[in-house]
Amino acid sequence: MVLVEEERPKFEFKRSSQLQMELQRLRRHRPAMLGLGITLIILVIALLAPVIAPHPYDEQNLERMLAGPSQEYPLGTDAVGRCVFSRIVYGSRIAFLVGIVVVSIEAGIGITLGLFAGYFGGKLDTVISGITDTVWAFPPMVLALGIVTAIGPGLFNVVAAISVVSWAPFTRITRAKVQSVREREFVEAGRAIGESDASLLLRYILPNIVAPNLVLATLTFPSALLTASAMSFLGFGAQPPSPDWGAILSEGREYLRFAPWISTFPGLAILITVLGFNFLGDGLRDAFDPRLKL
Amino acid sequence: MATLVDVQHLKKYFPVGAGLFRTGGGWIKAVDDVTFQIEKGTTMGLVGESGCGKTTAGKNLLLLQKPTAGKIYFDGEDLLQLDKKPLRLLRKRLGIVYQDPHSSLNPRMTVINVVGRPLVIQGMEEADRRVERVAAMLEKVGLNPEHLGRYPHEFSGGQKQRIAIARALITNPDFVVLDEPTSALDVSVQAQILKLLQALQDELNLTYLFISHDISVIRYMSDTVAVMYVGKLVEWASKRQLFDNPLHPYTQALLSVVPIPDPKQRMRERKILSGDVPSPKNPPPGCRFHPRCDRVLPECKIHEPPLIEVEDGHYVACHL
Amino acid sequence: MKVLLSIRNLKTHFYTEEGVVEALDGVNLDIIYGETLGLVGETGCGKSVTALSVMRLIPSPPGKIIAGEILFEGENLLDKSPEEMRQIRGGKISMIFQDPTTSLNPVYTIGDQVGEAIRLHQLTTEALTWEKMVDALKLVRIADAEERATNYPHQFSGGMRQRAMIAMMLSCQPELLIADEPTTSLDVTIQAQVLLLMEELQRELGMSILLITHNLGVVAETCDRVGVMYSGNVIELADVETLFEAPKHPYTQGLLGSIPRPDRDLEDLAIIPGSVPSLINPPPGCRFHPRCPYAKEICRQEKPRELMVEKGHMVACHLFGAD
Repeated sequence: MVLVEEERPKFEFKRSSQLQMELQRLRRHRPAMLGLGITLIILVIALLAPVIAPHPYDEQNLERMLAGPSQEYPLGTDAVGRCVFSRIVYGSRIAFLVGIVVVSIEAGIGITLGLFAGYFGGKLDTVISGITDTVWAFPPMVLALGIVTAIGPGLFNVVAAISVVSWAPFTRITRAKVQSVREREFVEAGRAIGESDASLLLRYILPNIVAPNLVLATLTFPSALLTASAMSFLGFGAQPPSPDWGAILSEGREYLRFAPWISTFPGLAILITVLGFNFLGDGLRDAFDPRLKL
Repeated sequence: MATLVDVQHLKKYFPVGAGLFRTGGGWIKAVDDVTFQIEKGTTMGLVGESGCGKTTAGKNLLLLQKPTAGKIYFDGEDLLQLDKKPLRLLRKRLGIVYQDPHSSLNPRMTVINVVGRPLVIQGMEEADRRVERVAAMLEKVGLNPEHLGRYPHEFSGGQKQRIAIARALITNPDFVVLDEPTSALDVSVQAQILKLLQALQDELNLTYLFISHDISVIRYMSDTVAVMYVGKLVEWASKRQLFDNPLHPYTQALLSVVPIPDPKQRMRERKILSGDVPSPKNPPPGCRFHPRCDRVLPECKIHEPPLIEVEDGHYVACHL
Repeated sequence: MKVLLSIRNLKTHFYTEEGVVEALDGVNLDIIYGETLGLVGETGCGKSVTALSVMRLIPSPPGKIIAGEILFEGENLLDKSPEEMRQIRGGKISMIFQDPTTSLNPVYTIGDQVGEAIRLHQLTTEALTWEKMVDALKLVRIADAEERATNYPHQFSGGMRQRAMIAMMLSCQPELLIADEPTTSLDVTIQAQVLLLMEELQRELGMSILLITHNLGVVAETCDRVGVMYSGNVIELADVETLFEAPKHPYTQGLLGSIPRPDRDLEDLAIIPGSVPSLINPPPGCRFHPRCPYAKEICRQEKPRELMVEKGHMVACHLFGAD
């Protein structure tokens, strides 16, 4: 029995879910598109490294040490004759990997803790928030350094150390968002139809807290990269002959005066990658919540 | 006629200053000793102004919040005695429609899921039959089943409310709490939704608790009416009794000042109350209405009046 | 009867990402000295946009008044400079809004805000401002005015906040008060107080009121004449008794038939099928035709003109004026 005539949804000419609207807004954000472009280019470089790089990253050419940019070595060579360009290209893999792994671990820990703290509240919240605040009170770099000194250098250790100390922002943001989403009527409506806590968390709350976390993840990537690079620069991270950008930068320090290309280009690579992710993150933030234009 | 819902001395208090260290005691007595019954197949209207506790009463009735005290019987079963699992299963006989259609639907769920989840939770249908059932329900509430895959925000306010109604009715409930279901809608859409609710009630033999601040809508929809004021039930009667012969001074005042869409009646006598609606944080002692009442007696300031039956089915809480 | 405000063929559009929102499509309206004119309609009909256009408070971008004139005391407000408009706003024309909570600044006391309104429009001294401010608060029947003037908005209840708004807006004794849904967010018993207050103030100050609301009951009780708006136009205008007893436009009829009443039991409610059209691509011809039970061929093609079907009663519908 149909009571009333069917009405057409008002957006006849714009069939879109909320996600599509947000993507549209993202597309219009110029810096974000630039950022997206940079990120994609670096991803492609990372994936196609063996194809793009003219030389293996650890191939030494002792006859051409500290040579300037040339046809054969587009960005010059380093102290043992390795192609700087190739090293940077292969280094993009490390950069990406580090970024993704660190962000994933941080987000994994942070969001889970935030979900529980925000949803259940009470003592659990107090405990989790206390731990979060305490961990976050320490400068992450210092903590990470401390951990690495204890367990020894190496890329894997660096990644672990950074991830374990920097999940606080994810927890904070998730907790706050969960608290606000939790009060929204559709969550109570979910309870009214008999949803379990687990189901409420997974189907009602989690999908609605993705947005700020995605923005945070995009903006955390560069900081993870920078921290890892710094640690490598200091000698704690990737060990030679690994083409980690921070490590290359460090190796080039001694030769800055007469072979500046060794340090400059990896530095530029880091800069561009960081900028790219930052722009993208800005755009995402504006696309998801235009009111938050900070 | 069987009593489907029986509420006895329902209370819901919220602590003031909640937190780890509860400083300064005191309670917000949102619902303070409310008693009423609803007969199967009828609509009870629950009316009152802001802060009167009507919405809180509705939510506590369905155990969406934990009542502080009182008893709630649904079809003879004491709801507060039920464990989690049996309560969840009982929910298929209960439904709720919220006031704001824009926030009562999960924005990240498609319509098929919004309306279909209750079926999944209650284990009521196989996947393919589920889709059919949801589609049939959408048609019943006046929506096009082709829109199953869309998201709530693609619909207008009136349509969203229809989706909410579909969700509430998908499990074939007996009792539905309607919390201001049309207050956020335009006048013409309101009429559509009200008629839809009536038709569905007739067809599916539903029992409604219709909560609203709008007297006109209450008059149109209800069989019995209960009036709340600052957490207390001040009058409860059949629609005829309440509107023809309101007994409580608050009810009288309320009914007299509701604007009537008829210019010829503008010169009628109105009881305009002075002062503001008190907040449930610090209600006046004794009868909560006494500061604004024009027929105050000394005992009104000290003792809270009990709810007594003045004529058959007509209850009032007043010292007069 | 002298005309205080005359709106002629007002068209206001909003240029948005999704398209051009034709919010007002040729609004015609007159307000006479001393009267209360009600402007009713549902969401999106343009009643608030009309008020904001008169006050020239349309945010621009994305809005723009693209045509028409607004004659206030004989002068076209659309020709005024921003400075002149600022003088007029709060001085000769005042506006109160629906939600007093968001229209009052939470970090200033009530006294400060009301006093500010006075200071902006009158030549006064510090002491005189205080006196006038307290008088204004007393005018709106706020008890213990001197004490309450030092309170902040959050210490006032909803009804009192609305009164404070009224005090602010009436402190300079405007000729015209525009009230946009002034009691919609208030409880019924408080609404009665505020409406009574507005009525008394109107008599005392001799001003005109443009009352915008979607509540037909409020209109029936407070207005002298009523205009009904639909999708950017005034489609019917009459004195209040005529409108309620003998509405001529199908939309008005449908609207009046679809509201439940507090004073009697209704058998049934009238239904206007469909919903309010989008203002971005409105229906051609008469914007109401897709929902009108009497729609004819001409309704799809031509927009109906506004005709006086009897003295003081205007209707914009092709059912009338075949002659």
